Amino acid sequence: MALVEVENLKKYFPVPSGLFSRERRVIHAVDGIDLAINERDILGLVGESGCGKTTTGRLILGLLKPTEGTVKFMGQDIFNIKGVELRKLRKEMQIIFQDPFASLNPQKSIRQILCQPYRIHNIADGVELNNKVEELLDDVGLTPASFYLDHYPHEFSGGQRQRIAIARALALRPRFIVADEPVSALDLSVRAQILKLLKNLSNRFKLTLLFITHDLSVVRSFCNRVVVMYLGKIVESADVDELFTSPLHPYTESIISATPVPNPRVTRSHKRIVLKGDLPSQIELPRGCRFHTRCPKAFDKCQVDEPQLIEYRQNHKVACHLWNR
Amino acid sequence: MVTTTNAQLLSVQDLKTYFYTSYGIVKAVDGVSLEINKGEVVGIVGESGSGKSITALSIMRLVPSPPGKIVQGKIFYKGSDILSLSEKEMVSIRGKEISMVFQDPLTFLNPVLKVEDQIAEAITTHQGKTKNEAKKEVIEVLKMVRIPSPSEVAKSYPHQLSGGMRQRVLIAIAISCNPSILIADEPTTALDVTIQAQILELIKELRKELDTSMILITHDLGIVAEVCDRVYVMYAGKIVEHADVYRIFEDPLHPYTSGLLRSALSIDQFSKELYTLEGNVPNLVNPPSGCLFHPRCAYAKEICREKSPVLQIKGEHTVACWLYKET
Repeated sequence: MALVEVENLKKYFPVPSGLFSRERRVIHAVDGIDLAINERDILGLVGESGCGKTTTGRLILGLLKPTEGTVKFMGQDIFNIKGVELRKLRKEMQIIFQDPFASLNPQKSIRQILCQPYRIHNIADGVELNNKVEELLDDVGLTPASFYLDHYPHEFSGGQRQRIAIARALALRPRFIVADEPVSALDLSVRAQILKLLKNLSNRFKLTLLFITHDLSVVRSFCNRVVVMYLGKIVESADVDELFTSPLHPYTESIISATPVPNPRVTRSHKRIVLKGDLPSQIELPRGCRFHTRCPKAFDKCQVDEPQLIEYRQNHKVACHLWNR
Repeated sequence: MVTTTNAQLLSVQDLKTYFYTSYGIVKAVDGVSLEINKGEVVGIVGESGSGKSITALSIMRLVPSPPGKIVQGKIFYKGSDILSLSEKEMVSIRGKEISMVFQDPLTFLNPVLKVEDQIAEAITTHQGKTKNEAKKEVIEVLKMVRIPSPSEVAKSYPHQLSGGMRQRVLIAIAISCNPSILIADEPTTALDVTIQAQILELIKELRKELDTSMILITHDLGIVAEVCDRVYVMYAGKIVEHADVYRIFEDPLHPYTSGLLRSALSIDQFSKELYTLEGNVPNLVNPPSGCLFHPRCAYAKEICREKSPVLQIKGEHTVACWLYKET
């Protein structure tokens, strides 16, 4: 059984309309996705801004209520449990945000930030709590702990803050972490450090990760499975090597070819697929396949019928009429 | 003294731009020299705080002052030192001869002016044309940056446009007076990958059409590999290495450059083992002694801790590192 099972998940956000307007318009942020995350997966969720990847992450953690659909975590429907049961589940799932300058409370010391999860769940206090917090900092490579504990977030660099945010997420020894663009705000050399840390920690603590990112280069070396989203729908999912070597969906193909490669000979010799236009509006979605307005391979059917996500090969799903005739 | 050759358009010599803050003096740019030749795309690569943007702002004479100040150096543009020009003379160069595209188009476009007015302003200011003449040209410029339905976009306000469109408008303003040098500071960082690809294609095409030289400032090594002819690598306010783009990527000399390249992620030559360059960029108020990179350098020797290395020519490279000191 998968650790996380998502079924027909939808989230629509209402668009503010005029006071007397009868018209009710919504943003289709997530529009019916099915997804399974297996234990020990490092699943990359990729797509451009506005594709619904962040909303998906928050729905899976129960931080947003869905318009429709279910999320099961360890077999339990997270939107249908309350009280003690929910608290127990919450311990198992954590989140790391993109911007470590915004995700840490500037008025709290590192000690206060890291003690919080233990206090909320009544896990430790006194000397034991102190030891736990010191151990946490050690886990994320911030040693000696005493050097960090009584300082405030603004005293640290972006990389150090992201380590603190990771320590906070690890505090309750969760099974599952959603990492929402955790390295996008960081500098090049620091980015590699944080990725390496996350990888080591996920091995050590047997974590399952949902890694949300727009950067395919990060996915290639970091994840073992990939899900590609476009305008609120999953368009393709596969094992990482398979996705990069034989992408099926034209959108996946184009984002792979659009990613610059840090090697002048390689990057200058390959033919790039440049998509026309911008992402269509999420309020008035294109009819048929959502991607047909920008798709270089679109044909008649794409403008009328919405393609379903089908298993084209084992562990390789795609939603495209080209592969489902 | 001959300071520029024929092909050379811009030459920055020993530029020092310091910021006088309450914490102390920040040596944001500390002795930078670089050249741009006609028709070239030159990349300046570095992490945040390396001084790459401040180098660009110094060339434009747009360093916020106070606290910033250009304390030393010369910037020769077509043979004359633009640091000695009056602000009034500088206005005739800035935007006309040398123009700039910034990272975040929304910040640099005026939210209450229509696109056509913003582009027309550049044209009337620098080419002495009337507003009506300029407005006709606006459509042409918008076509040059491949904006579909340019007459509609001309009548829109920035908030009505997508991120990619705004960046195109910003590029349109920058090229409206046919500048000799276009400085692009992280022009695609705020954009999605498919839009980034569009803008990179546009930059490459414009380069052919306009014969404009370009300085591309970025931290993305993939973009450098794709667009640039020559590359300057900056670290903590100094240039540590400079060479032709192929040499930088295939035979980096400076330990910082090679570390950066090894830690860069790629969808092509990927490895499941992540390489990391340990440590952080130094604090520029209180920098380390000697070579600024020595605390992070695996090859650091005694001399690296004591004396700052000078740029020296090593084959086709210029590198500031004691490893390559001729004996």
